[in-house]
Amino acid sequence: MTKNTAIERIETGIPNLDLILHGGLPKGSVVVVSGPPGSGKTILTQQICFHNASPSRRVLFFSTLSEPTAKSLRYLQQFAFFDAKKIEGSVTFVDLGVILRSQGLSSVSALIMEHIKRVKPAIVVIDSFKVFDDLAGSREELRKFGYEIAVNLMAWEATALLLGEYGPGDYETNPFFSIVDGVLVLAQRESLGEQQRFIRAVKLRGTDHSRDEHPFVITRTGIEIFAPRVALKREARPHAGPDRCKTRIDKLDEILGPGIPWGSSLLVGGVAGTGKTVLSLEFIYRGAEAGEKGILFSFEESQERLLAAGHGLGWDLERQIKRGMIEIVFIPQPDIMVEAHLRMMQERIIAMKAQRVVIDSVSVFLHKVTDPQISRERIFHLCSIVQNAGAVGFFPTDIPYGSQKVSRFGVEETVVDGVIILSSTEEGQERERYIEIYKLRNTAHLKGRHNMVIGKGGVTVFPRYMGNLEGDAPPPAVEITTRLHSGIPGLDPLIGGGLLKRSVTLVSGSAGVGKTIMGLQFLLEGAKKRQPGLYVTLEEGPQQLFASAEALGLPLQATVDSGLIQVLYVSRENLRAGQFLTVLADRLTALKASRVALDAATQMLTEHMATDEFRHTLYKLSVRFKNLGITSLMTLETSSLSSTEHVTELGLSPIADNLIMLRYSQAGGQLTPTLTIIKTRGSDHDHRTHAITVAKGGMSIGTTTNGAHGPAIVVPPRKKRPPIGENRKTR
Amino acid sequence: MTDWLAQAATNPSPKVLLRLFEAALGALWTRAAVTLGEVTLTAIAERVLHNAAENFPGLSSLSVEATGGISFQEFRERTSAWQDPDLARAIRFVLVEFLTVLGTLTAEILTPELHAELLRVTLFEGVNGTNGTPDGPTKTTGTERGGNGS
Repeated sequence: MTKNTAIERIETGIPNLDLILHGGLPKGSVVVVSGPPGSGKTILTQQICFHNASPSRRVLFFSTLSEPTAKSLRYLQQFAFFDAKKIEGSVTFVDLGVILRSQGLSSVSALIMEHIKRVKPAIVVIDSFKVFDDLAGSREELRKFGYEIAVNLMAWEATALLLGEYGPGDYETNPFFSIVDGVLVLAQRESLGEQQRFIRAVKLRGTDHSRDEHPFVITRTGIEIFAPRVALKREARPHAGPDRCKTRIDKLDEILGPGIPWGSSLLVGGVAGTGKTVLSLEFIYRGAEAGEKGILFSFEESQERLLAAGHGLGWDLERQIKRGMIEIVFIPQPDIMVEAHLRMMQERIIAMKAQRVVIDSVSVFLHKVTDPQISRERIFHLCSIVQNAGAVGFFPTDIPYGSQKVSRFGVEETVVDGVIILSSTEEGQERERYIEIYKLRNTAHLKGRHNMVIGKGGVTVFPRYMGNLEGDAPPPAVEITTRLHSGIPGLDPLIGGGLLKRSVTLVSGSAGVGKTIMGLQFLLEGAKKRQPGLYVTLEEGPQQLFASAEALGLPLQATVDSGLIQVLYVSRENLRAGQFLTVLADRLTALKASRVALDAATQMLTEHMATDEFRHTLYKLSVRFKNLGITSLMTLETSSLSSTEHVTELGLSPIADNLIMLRYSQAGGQLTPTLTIIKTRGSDHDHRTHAITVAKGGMSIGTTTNGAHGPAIVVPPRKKRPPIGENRKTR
Repeated sequence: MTDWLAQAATNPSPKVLLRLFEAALGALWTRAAVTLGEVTLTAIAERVLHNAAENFPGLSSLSVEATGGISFQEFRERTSAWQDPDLARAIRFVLVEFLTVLGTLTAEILTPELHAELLRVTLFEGVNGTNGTPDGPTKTTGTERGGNGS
């Protein structure tokens, strides 16, 4: 059985060319380097020669009639790969121009062989070989000459690079091309709005080489080829430390669940002005503060402008840059070269050991790419760079106004690991920002839009579901063994002895019927037993509330001063459901509240919050209260003064454990406020309607409206209601 | 190579060595030409002889014939000038170089057959000074030796 022997390869020393050729040029092969004048043939070849040249691996460079050796050497000196010490010792230049002019083709072969025998080169270059086409008397002579040269080069195991201005027609008709082992084609043409150079391996015997056309540039360092398709392979690299990245942006991590897996890339999509750059910049900044290095490639904003933006938000970006924790690389839009900058970004990320990467924005970076398939591929390459670095990437992208897409090109979202959508809507006289985790692979994140605010300190996210990733889980049950006094004289006997702990009580009633007083008494009763409570008022300001309580002789001010009760006022105009729920959760947690009163929950209903969303929000709120072990009382204002046909008018009854209806009843030519227990979960309750009184000392329950006395009902004498503050709303 | 020389002749004279060398190169040429062709083989031989002459200037009188094969005419005439050990080393260098270059260029595909071909090159017993004549044939094949086959 014959053993397969791999052909030894000669490294070209040109970045990525060896990858394209799967290891380099086969040793002893005869390779044509073709392309029009100025396409870079000579530089490519010289770079290969100087990379390989050494006393034990010599290079023989023949110049024909195309370019005088002296001229070639003069231009060669400007390149970094040029090493004058290698001239003659390792690289020998031979000018064949004289003999070609005087003796023609017949003597050239012998002369070439004479030099080869003398130098015994590892690499032979003939620049240009195309000259022989013109000097040959016939096709037969040319073929014979080419064959002899090729055979002799092969016999001497010299790797030959034969340069020429050949075109596609030559590959098919020129007999010489059937002799050679490889063909590298260089080209230059306009692409993506600019002149670009390309290289393609058309043929290379015994090699499963890349057939693609790859762009390259010529710089002082020589030729640099960009071949992300072959050079950028995804590699699985375990990340040291936690397996998830926390953005450390205020509450953003709550909606991101366990965090972003390292190696992931997230598209940050949104129309202009939705906060993509600020969010991405803060992602870098917060990482730096936590000891994670970050790099931001900007194609729109200069470093100075980004620093100024950060300064305005209260971030000391300069300090993090000085510490080496942040790098900002500004590439002006007109200077973008996609493949070149892909390679540059890869090198910078690896060199910095960046754990956070921002490409701001990928839509600008790829703005010259019109083919969606290429856009998709380039995004894939960006993702690969991030993954191979074990980092997390944020890729802001502009979405056109009015578009239903989540990305600029409509293909990026299929490649990335996650998509964050930023949006804004006009609400009243203001614009509200929203953030949505549209997609995040392998991560249980909070779905839906969440309110987002950009202000001093940066971005703040207000999770809709208050960080409860188990939002769909059933709420915990009420505690049937523990009852809390309601604080309303006469009410507890009607509901089985008090409100069950963790229960949600909805109090429905028309304006002025006593809902606010009921909420205050509920909290004050808790305060008596050192149970902290939060009074959330969406209607009256705190001072008005204190005045009302004082008028009724309720010690609200003193209890607030003692810290057992806190009053949180949120004006209806500034109320944003998403923000409100988050703020509420934070306050309740900080206060370690046992009770909460929300007056009036119906104030959350605005033109921007539909009934369905309101109902959903209230449900989530009640679940959150239960999860925190808090007993809650929420008031609902109804439009009807006396109708008992609908309790809440909003279909909210299923949310409540206890449902209390306050209504006016007409009797004896006057309106009398009444109370009816509609529902108590976990206990029996009184089904009759009772008169209520609001007077000095607060609200109390009286007789039933039909005059019958309940088993423990006290009928307080009706008193004249005391005057309260001038600004008090008419009830 | 050492094995071949040992089996080919015992203490051969320069003249016998030369004839062995000529026979060996001829045998290798004939076998390799079938696969590689005369043009390629000529190029390879020129390389081998060029390198050999650099190490053993006396070998510069060997040349590749335009019609194929290696011309020994001039070399034969100068053999008397060689010291025995030098001649043996020179012959050994050329044959090793020839086999090495052929092996490298063909990824050793021809090497087993070339080695086998070389081992067939030997002297009749009489030729090495006992029973044969010095001018007798220098190459035997398996068939000639009684059908041992290749």
